[in-house]
Amino acid sequence: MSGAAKRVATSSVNWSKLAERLVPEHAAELIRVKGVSGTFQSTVSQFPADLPKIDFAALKKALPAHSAVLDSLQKQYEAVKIPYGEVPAEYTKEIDQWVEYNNARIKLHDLKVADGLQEAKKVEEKWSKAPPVEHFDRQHFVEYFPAHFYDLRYQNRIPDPCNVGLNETPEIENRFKDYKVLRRADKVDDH
Amino acid sequence: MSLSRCLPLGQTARVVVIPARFAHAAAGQAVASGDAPNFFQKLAARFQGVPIKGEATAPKSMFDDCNKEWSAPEPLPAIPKDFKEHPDRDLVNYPYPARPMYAPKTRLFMVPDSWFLPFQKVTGVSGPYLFFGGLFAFLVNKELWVFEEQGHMTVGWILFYLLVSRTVGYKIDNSLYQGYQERVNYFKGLIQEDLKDAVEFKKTSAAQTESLVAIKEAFPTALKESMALQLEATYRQNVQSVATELKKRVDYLKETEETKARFEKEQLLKLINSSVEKQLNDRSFKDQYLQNAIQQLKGLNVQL
Repeated sequence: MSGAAKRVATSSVNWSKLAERLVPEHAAELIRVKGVSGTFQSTVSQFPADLPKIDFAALKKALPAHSAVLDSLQKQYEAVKIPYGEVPAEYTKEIDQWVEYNNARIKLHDLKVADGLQEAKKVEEKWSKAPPVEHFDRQHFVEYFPAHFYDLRYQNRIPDPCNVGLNETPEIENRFKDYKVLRRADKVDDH
Repeated sequence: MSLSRCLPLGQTARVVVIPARFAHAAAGQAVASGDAPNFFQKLAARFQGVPIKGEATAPKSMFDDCNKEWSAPEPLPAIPKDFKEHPDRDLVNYPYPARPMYAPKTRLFMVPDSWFLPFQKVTGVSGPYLFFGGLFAFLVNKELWVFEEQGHMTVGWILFYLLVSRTVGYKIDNSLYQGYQERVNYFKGLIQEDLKDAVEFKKTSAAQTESLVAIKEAFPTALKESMALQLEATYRQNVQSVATELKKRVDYLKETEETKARFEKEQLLKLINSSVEKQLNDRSFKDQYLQNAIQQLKGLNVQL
């Protein structure tokens, strides 16, 4: 009756456990696979696994007039062989191809993670090496919070303690680059 | 304005004036008696910091923090022992200048304690006082230290400092410490923000790795099983159709048998009915029936 292939009546995958382990980005893939599997699963559970056994002897007793017909039916019924079929090789190959794709994806992800971890490690190392904020020196503020502090000893910028934004445009710097340049160009400094 | 205008009293009334210095004693007696507290009792309760009758807690007084010494709720975090800004730093000769929580100790409000200690080892506790006092007296005597004409104002300033520090010193210290804490927390927040990305990346990347591993483990099996299930489903559909077909044939046979039996029964009934009806319609049968009936009536012995 059954073919060479192993018969599968239920999926061995624990879908709920698998769904817990997946991140939302991969949930769509799971839904697709689970949906297909579920459709066939419902068909499988709907129909009987094998041909039902029929008591031909009792039938023959009940219908003695049709015993010849029943005989022929019994013979045919017992001789019938329902083919089980096989998964085509190209489909199995597709699965292998998908596995290859998944391996490549994992490899890429691992590369990305290794790179990102290195960056994260740099940031963490920077802060682990820093003294506690309570003991920061004036130089430390410039070193660790460059967006909030500046050191005029080596930074070329105009002092802007009230944070007006004097350093955001180059006009002021250009205006005062040379102290000899006057406000009015036509004014002559000849005395 | 005389008191009599504020407090109009009749001739029979008795005025008892309680001096303020006895008010607390008077209040104690009255509160103990359980009556509603009067003005002076209330006043005394306020000074004692005791809640008045009907109050759950005494209201916070502006004098609560007077003459209180402020201290930080928690010390500053210690600098890690091996902390170095640069590997070349000489920690033995140039240790990192850690910020002290409190100002260094002083004596006589302003003289650093460290000046006294070396003297103290040799001359005892009073030695440094005698030395500095003597030195000051010598400088004043020889007019090396000349008092300026407004110099006596220093005494006033010292008194003013004492007054302020003893009254609102605690509050000032407290608010300054709070401001300092806010500033420190702001910078700590900046650090946390910087670290948050790193931590989040670690967390999400770990989850993604776990997810990919789960996919790698489960999906090939799931896909293979899905195809196997498809085969099984088709097989079962075929089984079902064979079973249905056989059932149809057997049912047909059963039905023909039943129909045959039913038809025979109907025919038999029809035959019986028609023969009975035929006999009923016969004249001689009717006459015989009537004769029988009359005979039976005659035979009845009716007594009136």
